[in-house]
Amino acid sequence: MLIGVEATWAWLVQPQRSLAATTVVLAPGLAALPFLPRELRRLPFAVPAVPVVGVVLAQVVLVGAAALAVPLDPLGVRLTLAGVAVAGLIGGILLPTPAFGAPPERWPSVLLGLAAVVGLGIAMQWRILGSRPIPGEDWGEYLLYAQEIARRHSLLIDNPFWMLGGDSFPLDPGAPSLYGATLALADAPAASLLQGIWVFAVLGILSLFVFVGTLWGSRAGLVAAAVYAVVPMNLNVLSWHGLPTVDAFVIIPVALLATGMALRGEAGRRWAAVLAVALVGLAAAHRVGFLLGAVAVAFVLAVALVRQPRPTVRFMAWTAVFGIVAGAGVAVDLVQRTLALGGVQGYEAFLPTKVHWDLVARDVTWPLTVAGLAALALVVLGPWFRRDASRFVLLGLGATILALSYAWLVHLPTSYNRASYLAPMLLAASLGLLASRLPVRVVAPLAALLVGVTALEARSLATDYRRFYSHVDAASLKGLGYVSQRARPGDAVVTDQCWSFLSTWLLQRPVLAALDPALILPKRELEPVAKARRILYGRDGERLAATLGVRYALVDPLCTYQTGRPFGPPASGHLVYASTRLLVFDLATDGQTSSR
Amino acid sequence: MTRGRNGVAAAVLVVTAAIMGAPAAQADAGQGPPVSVYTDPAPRPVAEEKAVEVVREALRQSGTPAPVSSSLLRSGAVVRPSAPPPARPKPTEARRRAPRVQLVTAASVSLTERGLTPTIRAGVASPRDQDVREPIVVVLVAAALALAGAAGAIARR
Repeated sequence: MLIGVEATWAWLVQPQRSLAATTVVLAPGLAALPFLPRELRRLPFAVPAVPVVGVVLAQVVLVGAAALAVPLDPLGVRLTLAGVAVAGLIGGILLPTPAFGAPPERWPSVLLGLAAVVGLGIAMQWRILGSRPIPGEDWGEYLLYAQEIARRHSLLIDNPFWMLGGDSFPLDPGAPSLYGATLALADAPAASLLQGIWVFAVLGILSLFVFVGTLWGSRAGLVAAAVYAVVPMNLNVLSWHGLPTVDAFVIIPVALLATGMALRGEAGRRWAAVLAVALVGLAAAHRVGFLLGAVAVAFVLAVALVRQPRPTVRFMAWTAVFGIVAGAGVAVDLVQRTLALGGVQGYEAFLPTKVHWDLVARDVTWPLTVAGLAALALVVLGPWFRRDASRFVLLGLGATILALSYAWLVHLPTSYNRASYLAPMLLAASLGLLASRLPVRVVAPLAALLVGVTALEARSLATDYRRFYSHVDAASLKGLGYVSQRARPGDAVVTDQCWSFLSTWLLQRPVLAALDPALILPKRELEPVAKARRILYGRDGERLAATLGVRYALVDPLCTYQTGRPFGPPASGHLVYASTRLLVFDLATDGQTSSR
Repeated sequence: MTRGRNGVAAAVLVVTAAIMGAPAAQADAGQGPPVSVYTDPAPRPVAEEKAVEVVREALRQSGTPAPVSSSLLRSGAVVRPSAPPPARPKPTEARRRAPRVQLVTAASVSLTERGLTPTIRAGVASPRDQDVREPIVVVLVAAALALAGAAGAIARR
């Protein structure tokens, strides 16, 4: 029905971005309802579960369909979503309805509480995303990818500008598939999705509520979601625009929930399907997120295997079957995408991303860190929780954070500090579980105090984050306008890390980027990065720039490597524009010729 | 059995605490310091002064030193050749040859007049594009449909 309304509105009136986005996210979620386990179809959990499941399923379906040559144009997207809806209708008719009693009497107040928590989260996120231009480096690349998907109706496409153009987009396809589908339906400019990450950030709160609430009750879910909504570290991810990371954090709680049910011995085929779709969705959404989620699931299922070998083996077998069915298309996409990357760098390149725990504690806030770790110790060791095997999910999550933070010990090449971004999820869930066993009169004031203190700390930290990542401001936009005015068609630019992704979108011309080696994933980028570094800092920079058609250098005077070392001004060219966050150098050897 | 499992859990927690308490550098292979500034920005005045120093250094490197201030950088400045200095008695050869520049505030640069790409205007800068508002009724209809669908599906069970 939703798909029909969207299509009719687009046909009779005009395409609408909000309606298109709602359709892309909600239609698969509503269609999946008959297939969901009964725990997720109960109120109050069904309401937040619909968009969460929807966003996971939409990515799986769209990435899979695109890999199987379905064009991501308006017709292709609508037919794909309609296919899911028809499957849902058939499932609703054919599948047996699991019996479950009446919903708890207090479900309206729980939903009201959840709405308040989401409102609190939006208010916190507003400090990062509330005004344009938003901070961060990565959004330029995601908008460009979305624009190209909508224009070329495919996910496996070349980036026309990155590293002088020609290589395929190395980005994870999950969130971009949703962006591209939305643009295809809405016929809107990609810039309209500038703040699209906000949807994922809100869904992350809902997802954590579903995870914790389904396992340990509404009160646990509300406390966990409230804490999670105000953690500064989550705002940090938004400030550098970690779209796939935020997307992955919508999906990981779903996978953890399914493993929690397996630990309890209550997971049948429906939960196996949920876990399978979550893992496939995670693979589509974010490579590092998939690594984190898969390791966490492996830890928890290992515990489940020890406790209940036979049901767990059956659960894992069903998960594998559903995973193969749901993930075939996504696998096709990821294999092609991975082959094009030319492999990844050795672990040494990622050593600067080692976790600094004092910074993690500061970004989580010290009161929350202490309270959360104390709660974790209590729920794992305390006598109240001995009968609930699902508490081992938290131990698995903690083990994952540690294992991947120190994965450099076994030379695993990955960005190690990304594991610490799971800390808010672990601590919030631990506090939620603890809250479920304490009297309300104790929980309410303590939770309010903790959330209040954390939110206050988050307010000031959010200001710092926003300032740190605010490369784009009025003055730097003037500088980009100046470059656009001076540059001839086809002139390329060379940038430091901070202006790399932003320049591709904002200038829409070829870019050669001297990326921080610790932030390079595809090995194929090492060579162009070395060229960019030679242009910026080598002795023959201007000559090489002339050979490659690079005319301008764009650097942020405050840009630093992961180690804190500044990028510094280039050794080549002469300064033609200066602002606090953007310096523009003309690399022409006859510097005066381009001056106006 | 339960006691045994709790023992294992306790051991994991103790090891966890020990690892988290240990400095990351202890087991370091000696390559590269740990991340330190990723979320640790300098205060605004310090950052602005740093930017001024970088600009001064860039101008000095190209042999064209010129006055720079943080307020000028805040609004953005175009670097232009300056007017020739007043004639001096017996200027040195070096002075006569040195190119001179000045930083002119770019406050008058208009984004739209300067021929920016549509992307810049649509993406971040143009007030016109920030005013894109869709009929609230569309959002309400979508939300109502979604809730009705969810409620209907649940009611059927």
